[in-house]
Amino acid sequence: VALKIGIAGWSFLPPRPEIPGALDELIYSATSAALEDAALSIQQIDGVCMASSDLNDGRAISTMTLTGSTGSFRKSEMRVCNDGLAAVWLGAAEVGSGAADTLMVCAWSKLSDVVNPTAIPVLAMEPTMHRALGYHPDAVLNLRESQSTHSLVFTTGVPALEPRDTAAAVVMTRPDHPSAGRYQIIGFGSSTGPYLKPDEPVLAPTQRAVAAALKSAGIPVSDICRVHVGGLHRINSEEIASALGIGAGTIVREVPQAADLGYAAGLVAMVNALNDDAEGPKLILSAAGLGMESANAVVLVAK
Amino acid sequence: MKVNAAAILGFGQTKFRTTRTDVSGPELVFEAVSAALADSDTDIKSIDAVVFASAPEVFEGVYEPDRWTMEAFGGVGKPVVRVHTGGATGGSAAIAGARLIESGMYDTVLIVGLQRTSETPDAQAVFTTIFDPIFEQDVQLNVITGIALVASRQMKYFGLTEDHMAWISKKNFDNALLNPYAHLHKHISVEDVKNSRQIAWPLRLLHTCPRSDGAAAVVMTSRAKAARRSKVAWLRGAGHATDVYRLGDRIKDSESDLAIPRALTWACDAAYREAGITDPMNQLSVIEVYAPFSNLEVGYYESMRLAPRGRGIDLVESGATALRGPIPVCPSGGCMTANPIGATGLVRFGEAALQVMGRAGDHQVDGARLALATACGGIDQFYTAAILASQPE
Repeated sequence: VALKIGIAGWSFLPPRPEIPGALDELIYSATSAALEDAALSIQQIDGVCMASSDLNDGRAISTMTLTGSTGSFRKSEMRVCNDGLAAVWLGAAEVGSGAADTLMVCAWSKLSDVVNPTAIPVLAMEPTMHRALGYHPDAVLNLRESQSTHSLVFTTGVPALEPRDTAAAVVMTRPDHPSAGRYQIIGFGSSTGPYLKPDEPVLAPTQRAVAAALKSAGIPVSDICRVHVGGLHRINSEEIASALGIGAGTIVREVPQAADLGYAAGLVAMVNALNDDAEGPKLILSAAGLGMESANAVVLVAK
Repeated sequence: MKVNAAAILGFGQTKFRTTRTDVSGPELVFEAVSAALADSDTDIKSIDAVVFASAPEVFEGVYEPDRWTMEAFGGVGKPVVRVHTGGATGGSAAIAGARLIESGMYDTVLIVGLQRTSETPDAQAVFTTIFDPIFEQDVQLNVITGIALVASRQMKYFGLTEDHMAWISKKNFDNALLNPYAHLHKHISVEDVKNSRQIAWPLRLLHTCPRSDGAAAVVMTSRAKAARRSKVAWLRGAGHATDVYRLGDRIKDSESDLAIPRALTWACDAAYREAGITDPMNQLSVIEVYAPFSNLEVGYYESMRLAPRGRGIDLVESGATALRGPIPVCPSGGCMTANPIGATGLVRFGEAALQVMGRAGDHQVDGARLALATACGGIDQFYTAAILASQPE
């Protein structure tokens, strides 16, 4: 039986260069508004699944201090250190397993608090051989592109990432839960690529994640009416459309495309899809990492 | 029983040392995953998804260590998610892996835990950053001083003494002598513990855990696939609970005391409920508890409902939790003798699985059929509990 997950409510703080307030307040604004949208109280939520980065948040085990704002007190707290769509994926497993009837999924980014956001991704490089080279992640992508196209691709021609503050929250439920609303998630996919390996197409993990999501949803890509993309700022929409076999016009990007939403990118894309009135199945995808090697995708439909 | 109940096929762990200079982080993971796959009589091609467990990446010195290590164990191309709930990470990852199977998303899942604390010159400096940056970081509370506060409260709450703590230390160190994977293999006496260096009153050096480099891995599969195997461990129940962040909010209310973490009780209650356990003291065969300090283990006896309020020390005084006692706790030596933080909860889980499979070697508890494994993260804030069983129901 294909896994289906209901959605009871959602909310987000639209990304901005700086949202005044403490991180706790940003998160609380999103989670409390999602609960209100779902017409549920926090006591009616069984668990929380969140995506966050210690380095972006500025301290080790950063979620320790955020229990009040995520609402996880006396509940199961699952935290992933990947894009927010991975939290959706794992949260769906919690609901699908019967461990939770209702689950809060949340993710955030407060890069305005980070002195030098571009210094963080570089720390993902292998420390002995690669990091000392000081490559910016965009330079890594350019090198790969140069290798595959046999042409020179320069970092200077690439728009720099633009850090953004945001927080997003989605309340997931059993599909037959009384609070389940109009939308359901019916497909889940995730995949990974090699670490900086040449010759692997940059979008290969994304293609695999999307293929898996469509397969589990039981629909062909031609049925997709809209694709909401989180992250992948360096890849243009035509390239994504070509890789997925869809029209470029179906793709919706964050504005500006270079906006860096940290681990919240995928969940913000999902909220954008929930707010999108287009009729028909929607695909939400995200990919992150030095070489976009960690990709996730979900398929959303209206009942 | 759940239709898609998860079963543990096998467990692998590395040798734990203060510094594993012989291998890199990815090689450490390879060592654990290879052992788990061999123990499970399976190969990486059979793995449908991976849950990666590692606690603060500042320990590894590499951002997103899951991606760095994927190629070393064959994870490329598979769904990989990294879980991090502080010290509870390994326990959370094991539960996450089970949920992926129970939901029907995947058949066979690999759970990998890694911690390479030796990359950090000062682990306590990292731990200090877990606290609120405005109000608390300047106070320089760290794990050791935080647990010392708990110990001093336990002295008042249930009469904890240096003798109780020394007995726990000796029990765990003695058990570790039977476990070839333990980091510390050392004969100690009660007097050695009581004369060891004081690090934060009332804690002494031999009341604490080592800093360990190491990795662990568990292979889990669906009920349908496990049915073809003769010896597996079944995940009968799991619980996960979170307390409030501020210690002051946990010091005392109608159900809470800093001495006895209530979130462990909540997690255990959820796991017991799912597993149908109503009398843990008499139904459980063995416990692998995540207790990096000897005083914590005594407090946990009450949290795990093995003893009535304020009477956890009775289990120490009667020797009930010794290896050959009625309810052995940490027959492997526990995390007092090896603590690769992000992987430690997974080691507890794997050791509990080995016990109910009857494959724990020299530290096997005779006839073990039902085991509890726990993990703890933050300052007594995040807890997990898992019930492993020799039979599916």
